[in-house]
Amino acid sequence: MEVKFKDVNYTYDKVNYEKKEVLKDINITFADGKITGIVGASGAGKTTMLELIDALLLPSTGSIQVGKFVIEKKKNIKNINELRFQVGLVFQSPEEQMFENSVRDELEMGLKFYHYKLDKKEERVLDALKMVGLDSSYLDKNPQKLSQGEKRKIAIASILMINPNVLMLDEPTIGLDPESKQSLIKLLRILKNRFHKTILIASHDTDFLLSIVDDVVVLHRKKIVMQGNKYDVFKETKQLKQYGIKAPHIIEFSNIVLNKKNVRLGYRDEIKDLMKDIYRHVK
Amino acid sequence: MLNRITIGKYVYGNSIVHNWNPIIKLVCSLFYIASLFLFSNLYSMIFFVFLVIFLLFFSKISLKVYLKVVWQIRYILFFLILFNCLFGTSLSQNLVIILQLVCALLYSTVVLFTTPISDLTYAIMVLLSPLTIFRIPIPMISHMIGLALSFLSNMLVYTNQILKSLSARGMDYFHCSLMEKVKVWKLILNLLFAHSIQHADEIANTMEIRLYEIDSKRIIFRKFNFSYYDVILLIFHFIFFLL
Amino acid sequence: MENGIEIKNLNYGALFHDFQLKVKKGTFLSLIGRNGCGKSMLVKMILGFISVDATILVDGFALNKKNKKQIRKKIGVVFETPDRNFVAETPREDMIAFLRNIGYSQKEIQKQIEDFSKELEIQDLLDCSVSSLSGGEKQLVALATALLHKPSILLLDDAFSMLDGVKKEKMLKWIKKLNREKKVTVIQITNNMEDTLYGNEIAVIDNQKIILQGSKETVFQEERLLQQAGLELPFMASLSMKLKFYDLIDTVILDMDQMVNVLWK
Repeated sequence: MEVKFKDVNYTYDKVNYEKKEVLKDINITFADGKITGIVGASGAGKTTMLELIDALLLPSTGSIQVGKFVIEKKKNIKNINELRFQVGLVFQSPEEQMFENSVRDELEMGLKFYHYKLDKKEERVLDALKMVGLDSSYLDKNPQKLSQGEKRKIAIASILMINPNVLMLDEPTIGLDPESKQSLIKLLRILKNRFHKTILIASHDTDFLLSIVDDVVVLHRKKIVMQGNKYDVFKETKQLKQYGIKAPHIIEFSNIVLNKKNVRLGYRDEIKDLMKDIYRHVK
Repeated sequence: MLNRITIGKYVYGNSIVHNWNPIIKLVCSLFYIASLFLFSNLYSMIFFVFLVIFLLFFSKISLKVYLKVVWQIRYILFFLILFNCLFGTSLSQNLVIILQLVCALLYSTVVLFTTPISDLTYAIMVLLSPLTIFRIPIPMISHMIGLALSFLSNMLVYTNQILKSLSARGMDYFHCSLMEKVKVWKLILNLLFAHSIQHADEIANTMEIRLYEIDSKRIIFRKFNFSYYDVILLIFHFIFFLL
Repeated sequence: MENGIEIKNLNYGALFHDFQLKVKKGTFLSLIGRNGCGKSMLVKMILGFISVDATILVDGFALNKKNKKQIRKKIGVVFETPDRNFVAETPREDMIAFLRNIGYSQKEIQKQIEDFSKELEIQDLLDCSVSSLSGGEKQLVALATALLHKPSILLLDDAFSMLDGVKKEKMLKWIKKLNREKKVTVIQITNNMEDTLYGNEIAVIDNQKIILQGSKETVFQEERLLQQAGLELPFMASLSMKLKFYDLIDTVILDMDQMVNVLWK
């Protein structure tokens, strides 16, 4: 499912006084079936973009097209749940929003709201858990009592229950230990490759993004300043620094080698690939 | 959806009015409103209107905002006039009543816009401090009010987040049955309860770290420039009335 | 060991068993471990918020009910949840109240706040209401507030998680300078392995105790132990280990420029 922003501006009234512009002149298309990373300094508007796509906020001007739905200021979408059923949004600290007392209820909650009748509910619950790397022993546990990483997985699992076409994650790696980060990466790969979901990830962790996304969009001071293939964007380390963003370490390394020794190592995702380049050049 | 996430109408700015001592502002507003309703003739109204307009300008907040505030009470004004006309009051009397209400509203709005809530509570506490004769612990109460207010704004932000999260999970508040609404409110209140307890516990820890003592007085953190301008004007006014 | 922090014989439910930790004065230690291993609990214990079955020594004094306050005066802390670092409505109020409570005069308070806010570039944020600040801004201000009273020990519980790359690097470098020049003992709890590069020591928690503690280079050699503990190596360490394996370099090199120079002489 494709997501398209057309001439979108978003301002909000701050207590009847200051109109705070959070997004300006946003024109972008998020390709279907791809993973796109949205990077930007904190407060640059990443969360706002995601909330606009899920129609939690309405654009002040312009329109956002999500599949066959069009989100505009003046238009009231008749059945907003139809849109929200296709779009899953995992918030920044979902662990603070665990509602039920058992993991099973938490996962089924998503279905309940949409009045989604499912014959094999139990099966889907187990599937969702398996996808995020948790086993059935979690079903009766209290989600409030789990660790950060586990809570986050449950949050993602409950969004997966409705099987949305577009999945959005807002800063999914904050507070996550390296192990949980790795399992999140694995999960996202499966969702993209096997299930062909369109995934948007807002994050300032460029190392994490490099390992998983296809394209990158950079937000700075309310506007989109860079966009494109991840290597094309991340290799501009100096420009990114101006925007407050630190390029992934592995890209930075290749750049230093290029600038200082005029040796062109490739831009790689993982160290093991970089090793092959280094080995070739040094020996 | 809760759109307002700051309590009170304070608007940050650096105008003369913003920097006035909040106690003075409170006292002056009391003087102003009292004399406003005491002098119910059209000629004094001119004076009051000018005064309030001066204040509006000096507060450096756009006039549109003030007009919006007045616009919101248009129905009240309309019905008042209607009511009064039935009792045969003259046009000038109606005008006076409208002006009184509008001026009182605008004056208090200026004070609210230019004074942060903590300052207001401080001013109220100072004015109530004579009550310490009756052994009411004013400093502690003002402490508590201050804390309660910042707690409240935290809770509002959190509630907003929860509502967004529920909407994203498919909770369409406007299109669901009463039973479902009740269920949802139960969930929200549950979470709010748990959150507030945890928050309170950790804030208590932070307070211990910041070495707060139970008896410490509330601090004045700005050099409050005493401005006698307004007080003089109104006292002068009062004297004028007495004559 | 006269100064610094020491935790001896800590037993606490399922989290800690026979846990020992020694941090010498002036160290910049990174405390790491998987989610839920109890890192934040340790902060609360050192501050005396949880009574525990252990001996906790801060600067030579054993923590007990009577000297809790005295000990807390030496410590600056930034808690994990940014919101919970603030009591008052605006950061400035918080800072003033805090310094007032310690006994600073009005003039001293003004100066201290001025100096710190200039260093951390947060002057514009001081008078905003806390709820209107973004997560990263809250963390910056919390850091400034923690250091106002010139503590000799700084505890950072995931204090930079919401800061973007460039800002975070700036802050960590600043703390490194503070540690080096003013000998402030720093313990940072973090989930991001790259943060550990700014400190000089690392301690790893796994299986209810510290399984590994030492200089960065020493700890990074133990890749398998780190993986068992749910962690990984930071980029340069990982690259170094692989290059070492293929005999392209001799020792762990953590600086990028240095690595490039060594590889291409």
